Amino acid sequence: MTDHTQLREASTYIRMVNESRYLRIVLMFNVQSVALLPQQIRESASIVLCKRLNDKVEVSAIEKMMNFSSKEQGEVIMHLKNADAIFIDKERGAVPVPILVPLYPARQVSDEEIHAHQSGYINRILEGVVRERPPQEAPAGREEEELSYTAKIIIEDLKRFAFDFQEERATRLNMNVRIVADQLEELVEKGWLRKHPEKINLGKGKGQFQPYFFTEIAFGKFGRQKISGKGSIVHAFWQYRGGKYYSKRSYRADTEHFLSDNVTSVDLDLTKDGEKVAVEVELNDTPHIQENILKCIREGYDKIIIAVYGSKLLNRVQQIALSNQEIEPWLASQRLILKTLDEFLD
Amino acid sequence: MNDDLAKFLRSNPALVKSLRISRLLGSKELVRRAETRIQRSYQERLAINDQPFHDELPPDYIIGNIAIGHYTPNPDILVKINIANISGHVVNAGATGTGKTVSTLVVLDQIQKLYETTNLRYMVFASKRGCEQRNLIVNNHPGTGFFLDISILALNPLSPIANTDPNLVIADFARTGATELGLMAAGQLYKQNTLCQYIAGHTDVNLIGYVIWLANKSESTLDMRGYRDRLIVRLQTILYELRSIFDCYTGIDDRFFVEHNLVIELPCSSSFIMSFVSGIILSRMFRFKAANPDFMRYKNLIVLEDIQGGLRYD
Repeated sequence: MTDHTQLREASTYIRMVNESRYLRIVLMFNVQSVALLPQQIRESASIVLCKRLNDKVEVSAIEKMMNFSSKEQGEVIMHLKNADAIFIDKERGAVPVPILVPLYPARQVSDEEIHAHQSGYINRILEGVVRERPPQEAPAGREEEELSYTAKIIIEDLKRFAFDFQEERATRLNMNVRIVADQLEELVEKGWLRKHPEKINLGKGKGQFQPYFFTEIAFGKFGRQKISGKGSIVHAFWQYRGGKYYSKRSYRADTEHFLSDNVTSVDLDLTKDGEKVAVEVELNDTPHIQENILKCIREGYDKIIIAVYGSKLLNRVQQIALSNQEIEPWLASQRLILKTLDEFLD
Repeated sequence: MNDDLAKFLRSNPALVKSLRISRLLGSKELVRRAETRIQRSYQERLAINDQPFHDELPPDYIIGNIAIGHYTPNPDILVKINIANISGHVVNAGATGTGKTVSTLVVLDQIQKLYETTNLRYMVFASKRGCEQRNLIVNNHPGTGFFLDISILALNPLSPIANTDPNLVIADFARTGATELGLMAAGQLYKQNTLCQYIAGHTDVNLIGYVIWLANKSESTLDMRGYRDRLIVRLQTILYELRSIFDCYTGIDDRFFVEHNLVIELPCSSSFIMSFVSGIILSRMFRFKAANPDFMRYKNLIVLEDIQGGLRYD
């Protein structure tokens, strides 16, 4: 549990609240929530200016600060117009009075206007403040180095299709697979790309997939890499591959499709000839697997596909499905299909 | 209908219009609603005008050097404050869009206009969202107030302060931002010890140099490594957003925070970072004023805009 006493002592402002009186410094706190202000600050406030407050907790906090004598005064705080305020000076009179704050002609002021207004004067007050920055180290010649055309189009392609296989990329760019692979390796060496530390297993005898991501240099020059889906990289990868696989089979695929409650979402939402299919990718044994299946059933999908990582998890999900009365008939009628990720896209 | 209600309706034509439209439409339900709305608004107005702040205005409230607003029952009377004599602090509270900033601008504008004749000075800390304070600078004479943004503000929290023991400066910085950095007592002590070690071994000291030095520092025990790693991560979060403020080698001259009217704009919406930076500037300003009695003649008003997030300690 947090020890409030220790932290309270440490707060810079609370120290200053106590010291500032001797140093002729007045702190003015412009706050939306009085209740959140620490006790010391609330107690040491001698002038309080209160505008409309919409919360009863805030009103009761301000009532104590402003010595209100009746409940009606608190209610007025909740109905003040924008220019109205209640003012109290505890050092002089200590009586809350209603005031009208005059309008101040405020508008958008641009940087140029400020610069023109204070140029000449600002240098005078900044005398003695010399900003001497250390010479910037050139980032190992990366900036000067011009990228080849091939490298550029591979980066542009990687920006849009992060999870495509090399063969797909080579076909799209009309290149040899070998050249694409070599270029990617070269870009990693030069610091434009980085390899994801873990390769993604594609299943027995199908090899592994190595994702490549932008480094900060590539991000600065080419912008953000588009990675659809959510969760871990592996989860996002399977979502993307699933969407791609079913799109080719003339399904309309939608990743992270929101359900009718607008809160929960399904990993992949497929539609074809009026048939609605939900796909969920599960990588770990978590208690929400059952909820995920149930939310798809309640949403009114015609078919649900659960793709799970490994046969152990498959058995586990099967047990869950068989033990639940709502899910079991779906499994029996083959409207709920369980697959491992190895066979997911066969 | 009494005279007051008629007067109220004349000053609120929108309410009358909605009632007329409802009658034209011929819907009893709409008419009833419009009438209820008028009644409620009228009652609220009565409550504000007559009730419950009906005391006489204390005569002290009209004496002072800064006008804060008009007295509502009699708008000819100006309610004033005397900043030069305030010993406590000011709390300006209100929901979003109710005019907290406007009332601040009204006060600060008058301070700026008194620039030549008094020693009142203000300093505002504003986040990128609230740039209304820029108006203060352009609405007044050049040279009476200044706007500082990230390109001008150079902050070196470790640079020495005139006539002040360097150990006090270190101790201040170790405590400054402790709440914002989430450091408890032991974490603060670790920050203070390592700062002393860093300053002892270096001539040009600054925050970025300290973080780099800390990252390469070897610690023998698991506890110390924990403190070190947590401190680095939290300081880096701030440096990531505000590197150009701390990336300086000579630092600020603390004098100008005391001597001038300043609006400081920080390029972040997070009150956590804003309270860290304003905490550094304020603690240095306090030390500077305490050590240099010549500057005690200045009365400084420090405005902290929307700071409550940074003040929380839970």
